[in-house]
Amino acid sequence: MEIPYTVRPRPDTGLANPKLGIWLFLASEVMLFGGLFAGYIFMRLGSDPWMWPKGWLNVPVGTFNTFVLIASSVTVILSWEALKMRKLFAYKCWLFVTFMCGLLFLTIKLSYEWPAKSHHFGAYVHKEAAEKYEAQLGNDSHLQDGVMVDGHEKRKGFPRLFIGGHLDMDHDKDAMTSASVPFVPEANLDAVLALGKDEKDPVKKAKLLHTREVTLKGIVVREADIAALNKDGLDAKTKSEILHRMNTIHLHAVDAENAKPYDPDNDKAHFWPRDQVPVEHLVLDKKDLNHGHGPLVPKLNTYLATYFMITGLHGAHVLAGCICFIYFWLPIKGGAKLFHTNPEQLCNRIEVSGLFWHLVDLIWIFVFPIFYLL
Amino acid sequence: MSDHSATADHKADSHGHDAEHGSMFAHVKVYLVIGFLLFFFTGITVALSYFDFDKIGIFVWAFDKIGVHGAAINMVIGLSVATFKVCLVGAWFMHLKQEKAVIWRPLLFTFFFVAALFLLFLLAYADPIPGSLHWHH
Repeated sequence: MEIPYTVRPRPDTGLANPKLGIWLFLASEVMLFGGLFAGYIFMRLGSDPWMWPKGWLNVPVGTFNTFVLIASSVTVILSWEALKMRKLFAYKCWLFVTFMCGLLFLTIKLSYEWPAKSHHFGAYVHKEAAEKYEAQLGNDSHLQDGVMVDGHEKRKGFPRLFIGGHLDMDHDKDAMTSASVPFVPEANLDAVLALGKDEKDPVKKAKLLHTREVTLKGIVVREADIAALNKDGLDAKTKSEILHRMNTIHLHAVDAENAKPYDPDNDKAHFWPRDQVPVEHLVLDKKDLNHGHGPLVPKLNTYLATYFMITGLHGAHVLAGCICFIYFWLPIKGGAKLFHTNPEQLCNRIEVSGLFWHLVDLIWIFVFPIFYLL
Repeated sequence: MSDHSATADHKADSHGHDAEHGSMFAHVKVYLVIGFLLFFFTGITVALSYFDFDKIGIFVWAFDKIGVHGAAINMVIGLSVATFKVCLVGAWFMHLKQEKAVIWRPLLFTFFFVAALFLLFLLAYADPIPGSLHWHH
């Protein structure tokens, strides 16, 4: 079926159908992202001040990505103008640049920004255990007024409970996986080890043994330790060593804030990401940590949850725009070939997808300061 | 249908070809200027977020009048610049400046409802859960 008024304006609205259609769609998109931003505002204002991190994102990279997206907003409109002037070559060039900008944006996001989070360890310490990690947290709960620490007057304000840093993945490839497993009491490990032991029914026994295997993999993680636990005549010392490995996290570098918690520099915003500081022997006891410890993924805190949600949905929009652009660029019936049969319709297609692209840019204009800067 | 309109458009095209080309070039210039402004204000946004407004008396005084302090000043300024950039994109890149009322009138509703969404958080202050953070404010 031929869709009417793809080029000529409808007599009643005075507009070609695609134009009105895309604007109604954009209005609904604004409501979609508006809801998410409203949720963000709600959680941002309602969260404990020390729970809302600053400086977790790479500002130079984010700024660069903002420039890329703005540049692509200019090039898409230039490709539309070129098409209006019936310049096929210029149209194809500008549209290709737009497509490449979108791709560059996604590549930076997916190959650098997001993976960087999953290599970074983070945990919130229970308030009751905060004193134990005073050297990293720098709370002054047990210090007296006016005490100088590390050359700086101790900081006032809210307790810090976050410890972030890097695990020694070179020597222990399972370090991050193990670090995100919650605390396992000895009794629970014993219960798992005993699974299927006294079962007579072979079918049930096989099922239980399977559960045992899967659970061990989930909570013990390291293969050597699983093998040791499965050996006959497991001695108490080995078992307690394994339990200790399971329930502790060894950091070999910490964030600048944790390395010098009293440094007033921590309260400032930083443009360049701050270096991590190697530490000799910092062991976190999982018993002292809140749930969700592990890589910087949505379950760790509200900030990451909203960050991944909103940038993820925005990224999906960038991808959708890229797919449209490459479709209109390729020499196919609905794409560049349309130039020879109905150039004005191709023009409208670029205008409509361009409007969508500007909205994607517009959303990023808000996302960038909210998550990266403020 | 589309064939029909294509011929109609071709006619319009051959009509004022040169005049149209001239205005097109003027457009391109405007788009480049807007693009440059967007780059510029992105830089401004980044720079301002590192600026300590608490140290400048006039800002503290002005923002004190509307009850905004510390990091919140940066937030208000940062979001104002972002809103300005969004207006630039909307008015020139999305052609809202010269668009028909059929298009921008429904958008007024969108604007209204989004603004309402953004202000929903005020309800948390109006009727706080005892013991929650909002309770202390």
